[in-house]
Amino acid sequence: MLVDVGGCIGCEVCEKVCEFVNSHARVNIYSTSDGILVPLTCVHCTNPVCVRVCPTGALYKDGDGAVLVREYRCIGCKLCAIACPFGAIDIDPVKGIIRKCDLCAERRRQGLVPACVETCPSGVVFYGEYEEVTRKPKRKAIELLRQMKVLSSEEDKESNTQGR
Amino acid sequence: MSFGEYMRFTFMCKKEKPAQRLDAKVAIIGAGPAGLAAAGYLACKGYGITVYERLPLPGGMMVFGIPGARIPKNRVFLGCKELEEIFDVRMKTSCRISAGGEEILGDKLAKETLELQRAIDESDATVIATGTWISNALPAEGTNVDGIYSALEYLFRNRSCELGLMPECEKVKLSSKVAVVGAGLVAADAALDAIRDGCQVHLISIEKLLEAPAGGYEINRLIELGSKHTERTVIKRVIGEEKVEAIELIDVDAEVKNGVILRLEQIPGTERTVDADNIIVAIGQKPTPPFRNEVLGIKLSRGGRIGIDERFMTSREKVFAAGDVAAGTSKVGRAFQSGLRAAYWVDRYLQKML
Repeated sequence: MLVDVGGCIGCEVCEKVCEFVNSHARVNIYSTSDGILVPLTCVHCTNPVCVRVCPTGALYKDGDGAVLVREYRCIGCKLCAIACPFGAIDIDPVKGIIRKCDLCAERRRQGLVPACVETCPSGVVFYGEYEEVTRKPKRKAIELLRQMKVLSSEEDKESNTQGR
Repeated sequence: MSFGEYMRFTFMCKKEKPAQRLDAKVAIIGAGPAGLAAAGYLACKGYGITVYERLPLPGGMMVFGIPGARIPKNRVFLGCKELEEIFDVRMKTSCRISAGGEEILGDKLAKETLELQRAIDESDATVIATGTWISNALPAEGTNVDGIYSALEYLFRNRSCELGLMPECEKVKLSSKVAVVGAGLVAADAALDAIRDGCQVHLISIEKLLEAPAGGYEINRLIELGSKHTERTVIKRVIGEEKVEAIELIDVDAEVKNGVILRLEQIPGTERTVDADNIIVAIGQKPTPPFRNEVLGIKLSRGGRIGIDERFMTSREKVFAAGDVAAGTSKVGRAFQSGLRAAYWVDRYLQKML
């Protein structure tokens, strides 16, 4: 799964749908210090750092490539949370063990896909084979660049007619 | 296999009509994010659903407010198409539901009006999700002139024209110097539209740049596109005989936390006049339940919102409310979740009845 941060409008549908489906949101919208809204979630790395640092082997990758945690093995040492470059791992304050996006494991068992993928209004959450995942951000970026070009040529038009 | 091609409101189940159809009918009033989320959830459960939408197309603010560059409209329309074609949801567009409420922005596009009482009687449960379509007026002197518009009206008319629902002449025609009051996403969207329409935009807000509810990034983007931003300022007086000719600005002392203005005082002696041809007002919106006063036993809570309990039920049995009409203006995500949660309680309520 991949989120095209550039296309994200910060509408929070992903966060709120995840919260509804999973009781706690595993994708969250954060604001940078200069007010950019970014969605942060596990990207299910091919070579996950969290899996490598886990001392008990609680973290693993399943058949779909999702990085999951075997709750009964998690001792709450939090090394994974510190190691993750995306800050995608949270600690459950009640259970004391880690909590993260599991690509909606329960939904996948029922033949469905992650909830955020299907509900993002802007279409910036990509899920599927690697090619699928990278093809769409490219297409989106091309469209965005096209719009920027249109807007900038309108700006030129506007500054040329400024004297009226 | 491709996923996420559109907003699938029926994401809770597979893309097929549920095997078990439940013998109960749900009426959903409003096809914005809350209404559509509720429709999708309940369609997955197998209920018979009718969605009433006063505008000719579904989507609410996602289609008629927010620009297509942020939310591609087709993603909403395709999601609705699935609701209709696969889940047999009846989408009655151009159909306004009312119990004597005043006419609001967009009502002119409706082709018929049905009584709210009837919609409630003809269903086993009703979800009211009619949003916040009344704009707060500019609290300044001299506003009784032409050339002042709510951002919502400006955006709505632009979107309606884009969608071919209104002729070009019905768009709000802005002249060159446009003052946009506000610093939320509605203000940002209106400012973007005005820039695209070739105007010189002057954004005026109480909030400082980094306090802007739209986010500092959005405001900076507007500045990069040639806008001016004046912070800690309000319009004290509109100058003009019949239309806006200039505006008198005044500095304010204010305290803003998490997008809420906690304290506001005008600073006397800081008045100054700047040119303006138009004013676009984006300083908040009020809920628009499909009725005026508390008819039909549905009580209102603070700010004109429909009162709901923890089950999202109103003071009237079997009538629920979801989205901004119950919670106040919020982002799409919050409204969407509200629709899901209300739908969850509608299902629980109906399960007990069946």
